[in-house]
Amino acid sequence: MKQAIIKSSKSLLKSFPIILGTILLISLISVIIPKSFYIMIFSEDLFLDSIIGSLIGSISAGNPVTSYIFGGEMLTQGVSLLAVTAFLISWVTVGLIQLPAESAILGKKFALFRNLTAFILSIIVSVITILILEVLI
Amino acid sequence: MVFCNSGRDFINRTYLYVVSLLADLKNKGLSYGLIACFLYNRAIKIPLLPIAIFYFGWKYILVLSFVMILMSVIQGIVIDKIFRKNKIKRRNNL
Repeated sequence: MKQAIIKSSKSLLKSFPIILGTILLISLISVIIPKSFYIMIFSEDLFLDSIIGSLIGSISAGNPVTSYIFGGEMLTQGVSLLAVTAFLISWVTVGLIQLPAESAILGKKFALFRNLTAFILSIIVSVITILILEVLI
Repeated sequence: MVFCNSGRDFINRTYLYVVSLLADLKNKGLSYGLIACFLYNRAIKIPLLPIAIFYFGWKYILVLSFVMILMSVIQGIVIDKIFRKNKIKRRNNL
């Protein structure tokens, strides 16, 4: 347990520059991009929102910490939790940027199928998560 | 510093190491379904859970992690079935 806490705190410290950098970048972006822009991209339609969230998450790459910060900021900007959930999941499970490397190592067909199913599942998982949360709360 | 970090993240080295390891394991008999399941579960980062909980709350993260683990198994089964069907088709053609 002690070792796990030390390891976790070490990895948290390691990712601190990323967190700081992302927060600084987001604070810049939030000034440049008005709130109406997010409302323009994300409609009121929940299903469409989750697809858009998944698409944005799929084309993005990077540390999962960045996605948490982005997701948290998106929530404060008024984006629905469904879209943010789809974004968070597809950020880590779908890798369009890593697709060439993955297809070269594990096979083209497998990489395509895996990313496609991960994309579809990111929408399904977000819907299920929100439904369960609505029942719980 | 920010751009160095984002650049390093852009081509995730750890991801390539993991994929190479999985390719080795595949050559030793690991099925495609298990590889897909493993890659999907990589999304659940235990060391980063405190940050995730800070942003979204423990209830949300708990439910999300549970659903993701469940779906990773389903994805594994689906991919396994697809590739098994393809194998059988190829054998029949030969």
